[in-house]
Amino acid sequence: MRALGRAVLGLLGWTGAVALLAGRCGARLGGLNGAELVRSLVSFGARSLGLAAGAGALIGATVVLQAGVYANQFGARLYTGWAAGYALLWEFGPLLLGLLMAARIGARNAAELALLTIHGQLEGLRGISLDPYRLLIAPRVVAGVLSVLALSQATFLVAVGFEALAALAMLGLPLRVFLGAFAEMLHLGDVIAGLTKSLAFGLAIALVSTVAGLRVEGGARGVGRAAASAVLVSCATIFGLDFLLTPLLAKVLS
Amino acid sequence: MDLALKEVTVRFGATTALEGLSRAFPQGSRTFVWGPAGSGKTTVLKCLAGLVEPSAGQVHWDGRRVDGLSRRDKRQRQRDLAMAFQTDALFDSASVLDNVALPLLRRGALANEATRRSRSVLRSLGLEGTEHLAPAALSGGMRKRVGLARALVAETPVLLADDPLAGLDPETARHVTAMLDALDARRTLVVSQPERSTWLSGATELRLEPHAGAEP
Repeated sequence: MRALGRAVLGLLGWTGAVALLAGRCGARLGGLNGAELVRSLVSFGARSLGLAAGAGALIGATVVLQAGVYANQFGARLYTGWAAGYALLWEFGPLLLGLLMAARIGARNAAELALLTIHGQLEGLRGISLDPYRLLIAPRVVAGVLSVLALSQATFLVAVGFEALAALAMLGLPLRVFLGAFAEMLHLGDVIAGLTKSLAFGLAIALVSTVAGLRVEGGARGVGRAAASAVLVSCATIFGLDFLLTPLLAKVLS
Repeated sequence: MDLALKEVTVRFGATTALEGLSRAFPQGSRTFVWGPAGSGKTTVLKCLAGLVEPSAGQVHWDGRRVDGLSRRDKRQRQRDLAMAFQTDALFDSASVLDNVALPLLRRGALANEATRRSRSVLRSLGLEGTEHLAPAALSGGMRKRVGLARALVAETPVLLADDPLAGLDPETARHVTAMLDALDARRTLVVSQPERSTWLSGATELRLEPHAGAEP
């Protein structure tokens, strides 16, 4: 019972801290520090491009092989392009990229902010009457969200390409047939669903990892704990959001 | 700017950093806060800077209670204070020059003027040639001096220097003490150090003991 109480209090604490951070960052969107925004976009986004593309290639190839098995079973081989694209846009693309970026961007952001907190750099800014949220924290949150959103689009393009190639190489499905079914049967709503999920997951990763970094206590162990909890809580939040968003988006976009 | 602590108690969890401390810091005064590690020297400075809220008691700026100010008012008045931290507290992703210029730029100074004044303060602290380096490329003592330069550059009416000589070699320490001592007499200066010292002319003392009230 006590453990349950602690878990509920912990959940409330995280939720409150994330909401507070979102409000503080939202209030400062007008005057972000451009240099820190660009630096964070490079650090979070540009430097994760290779990883995202590699993951996209593997996700695409795997999804099409799985989709091909079922399409063949039901005599719907020609619809493999649609099935693979649908699975990629709605579920595998945003979810797997989100989990990957929780580890990559989330852990990095939390560890960096934890070190800045421990070394007194955030307090140092307050000490000379500068706002750490405007200068340092909000730009990182915005960069985290934009990075995940942009990476999701890049991943999607790479994944579709590798889906088509894998369908040709492993299932003998001509590119024209695969891409034809893909273009004909998928709609703008499917793209919006993927984008919405990526945006939500990016926001979750950026906010949760920032809170984890700012709540750090102690030295090296604290930094390790902050990075680990950023990944863990981000992943849990992504699964929760996915569970909520999937039926909601299906209802809205159908 | 007048500063004052009135019956200030600060607790961090089960630890009491300050208890019932009262002290006035009138405009233009110079105060040495000294005492052993854990006596609350840094906490005194952070309370004065509005970075730590007392668990009990009040901090006053120009006779007004800090906890009674709106957030906007507090931020506005905080612009009159600068604090040099025990650790350098520099912004890792910016160069030395950008770190020092930051307070000026955020106060609306033009870039050229901010650069000129920042270079001048860096030069006066023996840091010429480090302008475009990252703080991580400097030694601990040099980083400390950059932190001091950042606190000095905006020429705020109040300067709070937390153990400014820690980690400095004797030559640099002499240089820094001379520079602080030569600051405009209208500025309120509060300096903390672990041991009693006399290098700051005209300074009064505030001696602190661990977990106990202070002796004014």
